[in-house]
Amino acid sequence: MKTFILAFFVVFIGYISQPDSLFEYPSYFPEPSYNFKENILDSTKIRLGRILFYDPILSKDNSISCASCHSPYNSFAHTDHSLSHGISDSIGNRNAPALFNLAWQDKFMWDGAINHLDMQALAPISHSGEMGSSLSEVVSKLNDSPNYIKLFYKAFKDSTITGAKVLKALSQFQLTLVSANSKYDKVQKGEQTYTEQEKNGYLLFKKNCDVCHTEPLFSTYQFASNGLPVDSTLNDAGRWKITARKEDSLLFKIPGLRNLSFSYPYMHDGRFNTLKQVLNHYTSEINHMPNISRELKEQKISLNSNEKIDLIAFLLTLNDPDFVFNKKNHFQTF
Amino acid sequence: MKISGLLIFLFFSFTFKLSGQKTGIVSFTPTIEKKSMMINKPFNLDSISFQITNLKYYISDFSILYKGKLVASSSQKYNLIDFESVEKSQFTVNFWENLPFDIVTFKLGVDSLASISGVYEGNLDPMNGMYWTWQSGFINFKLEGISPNCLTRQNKFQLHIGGYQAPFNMMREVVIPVNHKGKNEIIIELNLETLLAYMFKNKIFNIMSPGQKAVSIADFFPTIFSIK
Repeated sequence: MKTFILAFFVVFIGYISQPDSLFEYPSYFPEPSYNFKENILDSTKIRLGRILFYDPILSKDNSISCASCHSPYNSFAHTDHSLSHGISDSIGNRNAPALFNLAWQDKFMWDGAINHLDMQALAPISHSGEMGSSLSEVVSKLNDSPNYIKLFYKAFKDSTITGAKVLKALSQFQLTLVSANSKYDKVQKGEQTYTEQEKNGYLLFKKNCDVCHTEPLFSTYQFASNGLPVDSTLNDAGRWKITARKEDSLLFKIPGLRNLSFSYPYMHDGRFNTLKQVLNHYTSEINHMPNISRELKEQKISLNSNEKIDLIAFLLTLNDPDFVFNKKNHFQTF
Repeated sequence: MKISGLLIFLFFSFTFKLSGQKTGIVSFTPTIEKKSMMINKPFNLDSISFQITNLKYYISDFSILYKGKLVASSSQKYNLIDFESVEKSQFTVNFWENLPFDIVTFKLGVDSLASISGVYEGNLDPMNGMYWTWQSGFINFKLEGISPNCLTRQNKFQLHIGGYQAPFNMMREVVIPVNHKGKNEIIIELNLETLLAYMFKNKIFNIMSPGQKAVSIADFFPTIFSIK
């Protein structure tokens, strides 16, 4: 009997240790792929991760923070810049992707080089063209900061700052970046209805786009070649560099399509500034390279100008201003 | 009654364990043609001069067997060996006093499960410099140094051997047959001469990613360890 009570107590504590209020999503979303049991959300850790996210202490010369290229007002992308920026005015070779709904993703970066959200921040921290630092250098600087020592103690009950704690805290904040309150979501919940134009755009979307940009996340988060000609100034081979498999040449991660109004320019190299340019690519500018995605090979996307406008009207229903302008995600200091 | 019997059994088991077990040390020592290799000290191999500046690797699932049965193991699944200092080039295991053993076995590297499961504290903390930053995966074995024979920038050689996905999974199992009575120290030599000779002969001075070159180095691992 005592054993039963103890077991019940343990299960009960386990249940309440992941407060639902810290991570909410609609019932029509799939189960997240992130293993929260290994990094149980906690408000003090989320706050710590949020402070770290906005702090340029993560860069070698204390000039660049995560938010420098992942601005909250741009759905955590970098509007107006086709390629990411780094320390000493360096410019990278990829477009900073928008950050939301990361708990449903298990590969990160345009080429899927990173296999876990906890490890993602290592890449920009260490890249010479981004933050130009190292995790050990960051940890050393944080251990010199009484403010951070206090925050880490509060979050982890341990004042010794380690690389693992830094990365877990950053994950905690980023996991809370859930975008799920767009007009599309409100229609799903029966709170709003589409206009006739949006309705037609939705039908066109389902016919032409949904197989790769699958609802409700609007991506399968797999890798595909969408027929973009190679930019000879970058010569970016995409996922091939990671897997060394020829068939992965020029494959890039399929992005989610939420918040497009806030996160232009589009594509891995930020080559398109408008959605119209994107649709023109898919309807008439595709480079039919050998490993283009099966979907684009088998079905030509054909849209007249009215249909393009309708499709864009639907895509704009995926904007989530409640997410973009939510103060709980914005700049935070000690 | 049953519970009190169990408690008595556990008490005596624990007491017996304390009297029968000792903490032993497993230490690693790098050698080149039977001579101890020191970090940052000049060495010669087949008239090629060089210095090793950094040598670190992961040892997983360290076990000691006798007639196929486990008699001792490391309490930590993953140990990081770093020849920067003596303390970092050894770890402890629990030995049964006077118990013989005939096999020492371990894996060189980190398994795929740990490689895909996010961040860990301690030996696997990426802060240790044994995790790639540009793509996910542990560096199982890191060998860095300088030699005038390396026609590379600053005459450096850097072998970062890692990767967990087929066909470039770099973890290798090492099995060393031995004939020992129970003792509280095991010294494992890492005999570097064949690996270094291969590196210089084939001019493989930079490996920073999983691939065929890394496989050619990793395939040395099962044969370059021996017990002193």
